Amino acid sequence: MLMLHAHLPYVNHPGTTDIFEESWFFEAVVETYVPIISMIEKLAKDGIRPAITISISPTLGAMLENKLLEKKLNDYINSRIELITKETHNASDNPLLLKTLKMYEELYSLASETMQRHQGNLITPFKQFQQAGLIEVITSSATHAVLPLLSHPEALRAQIAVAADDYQDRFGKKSRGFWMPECAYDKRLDTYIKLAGFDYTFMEAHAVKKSRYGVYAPLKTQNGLNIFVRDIASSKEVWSAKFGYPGDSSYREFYRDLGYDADYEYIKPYLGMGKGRKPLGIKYHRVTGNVDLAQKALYDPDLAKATIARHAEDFLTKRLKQMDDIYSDSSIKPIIIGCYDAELFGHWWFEGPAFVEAIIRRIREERLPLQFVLPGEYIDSCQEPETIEPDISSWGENGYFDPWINEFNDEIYPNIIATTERMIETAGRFKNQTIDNVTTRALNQASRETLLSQNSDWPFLMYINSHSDYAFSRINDHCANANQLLTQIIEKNIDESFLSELENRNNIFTRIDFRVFSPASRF
Amino acid sequence: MDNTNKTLPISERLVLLVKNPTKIFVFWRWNKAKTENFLNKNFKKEVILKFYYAPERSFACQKSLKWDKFKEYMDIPQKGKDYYAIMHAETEEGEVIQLMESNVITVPGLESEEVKDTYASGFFKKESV
Repeated sequence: MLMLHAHLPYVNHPGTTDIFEESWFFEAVVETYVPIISMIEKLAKDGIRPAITISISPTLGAMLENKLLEKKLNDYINSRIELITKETHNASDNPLLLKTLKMYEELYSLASETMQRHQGNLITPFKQFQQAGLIEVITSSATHAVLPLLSHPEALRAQIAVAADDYQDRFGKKSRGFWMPECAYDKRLDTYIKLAGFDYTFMEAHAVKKSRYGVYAPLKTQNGLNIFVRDIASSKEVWSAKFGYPGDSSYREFYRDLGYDADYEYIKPYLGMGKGRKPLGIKYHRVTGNVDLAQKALYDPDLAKATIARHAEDFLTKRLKQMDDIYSDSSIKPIIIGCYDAELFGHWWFEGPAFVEAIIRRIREERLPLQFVLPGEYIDSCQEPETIEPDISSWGENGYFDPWINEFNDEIYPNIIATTERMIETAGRFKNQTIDNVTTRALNQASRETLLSQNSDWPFLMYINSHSDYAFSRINDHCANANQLLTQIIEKNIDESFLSELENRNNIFTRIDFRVFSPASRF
Repeated sequence: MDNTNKTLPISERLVLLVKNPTKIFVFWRWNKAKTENFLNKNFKKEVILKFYYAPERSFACQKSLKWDKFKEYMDIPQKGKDYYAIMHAETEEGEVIQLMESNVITVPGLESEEVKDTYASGFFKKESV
């Protein structure tokens, strides 16, 4: 079972251009989401059912449907195509570089064509794939909060219930699966996930140490929530840049980029309004080995392609052996579950989507006794799972919550928790009142701002000291927006222009009802 | 009764968040009244955080901290347990007053050392810095 969790924090700045953080979205579309869409299309065309699961976080889903971001994305793609054309002209005497540039030309052209084909909405192909039974799409919490770090149960329920509604609105049906952000679980979540109507979730191996068959058979909680457990052995081979496939010397080097290598005046038009250089996504070098960046060799797409085939064979050989060993030890037909950030495939590990495609094709071509299976269909067909009580856990560094609570980011929690408390208190006051439209809008927008302040990406970026100022300001802004609205609501003095501006900028969860935060919710 | 225009209280809180099997993050915030009351009365300028096992409500450990430190990473005596905390203040005469009570959290049962190879999230982002 392959589960790809696609997520980006909500970054939308109407009225401004060249916000560097918006490029996270552009890069992920070009390098990850479009290649995955293309992979599924090609496989389907060849009569191969991929049977992979994709989690699309609500914030990413909103960005994929955002018209303003669509326009900026198209501008981004066109600017890169222009740059690639210039570079191709300049590289006319370098056959190896020309091969790489041809590869980029195809990559960005594919992005442009895919966007046009789906009228700029990349949710459409995922919806179509699911309707055709090729994949299963699930959701994650509303704003990707590390749920065990939400001390209020109302906040937990809001994150989960808003996600359920958001998925229903986007895909026209209920999601059976729920991906817990950062695979983070504590025992409170079991009830809320089940009550929101989800059938299954995924967990880390150390959450279920006491299970009879370890990670190789499905499990369920006392409440009947089905659990699929991530297999460490197969995961490490794929995600580790040091020990796994992505670190191979023939694969594209992430940290050498034209944005840093090219002459500054030449590259300046593509760097945006901010000062200084930044990565452009055009990278000409390969990992090469344990050498300095300056010594990296030029990338060779054909060499990488050969390595992909070799790695796919290696991966499948190991999985077959793994399954034989498990069967010998336990007499069960095991299920091996691989869960990854989708952005690993294509963005961080450029060859990732091709690797996944190679695996799927190889299983078919060589008629291997392996099958990709969707979680929903597996639950429907398997025998009664073992019941366990999972432990608190995450897939973060060291297996718990160190990345999100440390000296670099712990200052954020008083503000987030105070804001959440005020939201809960205010929602409780108004839930049974007859209120006018403006007050309703303000309460709903305060709910959005509260949810957006709880995003796990912000403390993580502060921890790794990347875009930390931006991350910190995002938390503070959302908290301030929520608190300002809540004060205005109580004082019956709502600033409608301020409210409209926030509704325009943070226009997510169109159907949200502030009552989801009230102490006695619809649960 | 319509209490919708009643001013939102400046809330105070004592919050526990789990970090890993051996450490809990704790922070507290006081409102103005509590702060003034504390400073004006004959309290020692330290607060005592007492941790208890839940649901047994039996004593686990305690620590004295400067009242205005407002946060701490507490070592946990036993992994795999549920904890809550009660903050106390002590007068110069030795009288102990309860100030606030925290939420309940669950601490993991396994040492981080036993799960260090499992992490996946954010590895590449971290390496990129």
